[in-house]
Amino acid sequence: MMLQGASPALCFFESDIRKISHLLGRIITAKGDHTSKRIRLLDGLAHLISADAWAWEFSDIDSDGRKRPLSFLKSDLKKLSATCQHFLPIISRDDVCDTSALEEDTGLRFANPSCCLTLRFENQVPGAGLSTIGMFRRVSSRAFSERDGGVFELVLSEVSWVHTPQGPERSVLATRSLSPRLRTILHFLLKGNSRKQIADLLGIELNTVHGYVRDLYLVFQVKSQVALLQRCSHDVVRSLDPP
Amino acid sequence: MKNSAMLEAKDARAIVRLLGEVCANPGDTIAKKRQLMDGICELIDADRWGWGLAAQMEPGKPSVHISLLHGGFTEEAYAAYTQAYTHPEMTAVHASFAAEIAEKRCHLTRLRQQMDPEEGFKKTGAYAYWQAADIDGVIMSLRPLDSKTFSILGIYRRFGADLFTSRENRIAHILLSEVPSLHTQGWPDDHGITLPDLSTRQRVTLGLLVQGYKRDQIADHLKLSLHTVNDYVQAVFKHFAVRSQAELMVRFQAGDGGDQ
Repeated sequence: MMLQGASPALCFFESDIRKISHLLGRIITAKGDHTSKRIRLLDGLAHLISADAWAWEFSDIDSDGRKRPLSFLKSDLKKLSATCQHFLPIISRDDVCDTSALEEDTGLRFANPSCCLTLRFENQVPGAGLSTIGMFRRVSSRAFSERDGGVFELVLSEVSWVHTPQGPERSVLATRSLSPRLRTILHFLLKGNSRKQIADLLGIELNTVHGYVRDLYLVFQVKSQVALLQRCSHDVVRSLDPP
Repeated sequence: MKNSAMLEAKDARAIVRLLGEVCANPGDTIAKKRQLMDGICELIDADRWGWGLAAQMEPGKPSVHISLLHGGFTEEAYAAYTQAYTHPEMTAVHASFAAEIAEKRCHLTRLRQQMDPEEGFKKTGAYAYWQAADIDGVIMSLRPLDSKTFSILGIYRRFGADLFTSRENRIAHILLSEVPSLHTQGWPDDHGITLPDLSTRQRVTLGLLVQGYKRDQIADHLKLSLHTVNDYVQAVFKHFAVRSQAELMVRFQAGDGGDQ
């Protein structure tokens, strides 16, 4: 882990911890994949420390010790370009890391780094590569304060998933491998419908429903609909919703 | 004063780390609530927790709570806890907290020693059940959901240990009050506003049914005959116009389809 432009704080304002908690609290129940969560977190963090832009880069290290960028994500830099002549780059000059993606996207040339308006955080993801997150302000702004650096360092060192290239996949369990018919039956069971209702809804024999239900209970290793409801998360319910 | 309040770095880090971990939980609202609560218990050395709905918390009226999620309890301790929190004399113990939240109408988290400084609960019939549940230190957190109902949480510590401190209370309050959506999701759309219409036993039966307890387990829990439990279950089904436990669980865990 490496940080430039900030050092770990000894204590924090409770009001800052509340703001960070509120940001994370909103992400907890937000819908969306790992990337959209990362964007929410970095947008929110940038807002908390009044940064004008952020960028995240993920790279692996090849056998020669060179970084190969694999993923790149950034805030909307275009809206800044109208009002500001140039940014300080988040990646320092001696890094192999590629700022050309930023330059191409914004049509801007980056000035020489001086780091005063830049916060940078590096995190080695074990077995995966190197995550670099930068936040920056317009050149005309005041430099980041000690408090800004503390908040930045706190969030990026404690929230580990913001550095990992892919988030934990949503647990849609074995539903993908189920036949369409079984998925339909599972959908109704998880909505609390009885077997009789399912038979009526689908226009099939009750005995046929019994057979499907037995198959599903085998797949999920349960013995009752109540146990099935306890086993399956609502993500499963949503993943089964007919389009 | 309030703006300059500081938190030690280790507490601040633990709070951010825990919420970050809950963000990464791929499960549903219930799984996230569980992870948050288990994490809080680890952070402040608590042993047990319960989360549910309070459908009546008005000064002068009996408290109506129902526990819908819990962690850290043995079955025996949870049964004693049920007897403890539903005990009619607990209304008087909650009275000052009820009055405070009726006035302030915002999320409040209080220590047992703040709610009940005279330790009046030790003189009630409920005290034996609190002892049987091995609950001494208490943090109680209430968040208004609408004009009548609340999300209610209890965080508990065993006998023989110190009571929770105001620092621990603050950590719990920050963690609980900044996750508003976890308080509003996972309940029926009406937040159980009709719960006061059920008897205490019917409510407890409802809470256990929603958590997936079978009828014989409910009979054990309440030390009642299966026959009596069947009557309660029928009354609960009728009240919510459902025909099965599965239907009831879906109603309570997912709302009335309002999240789909």
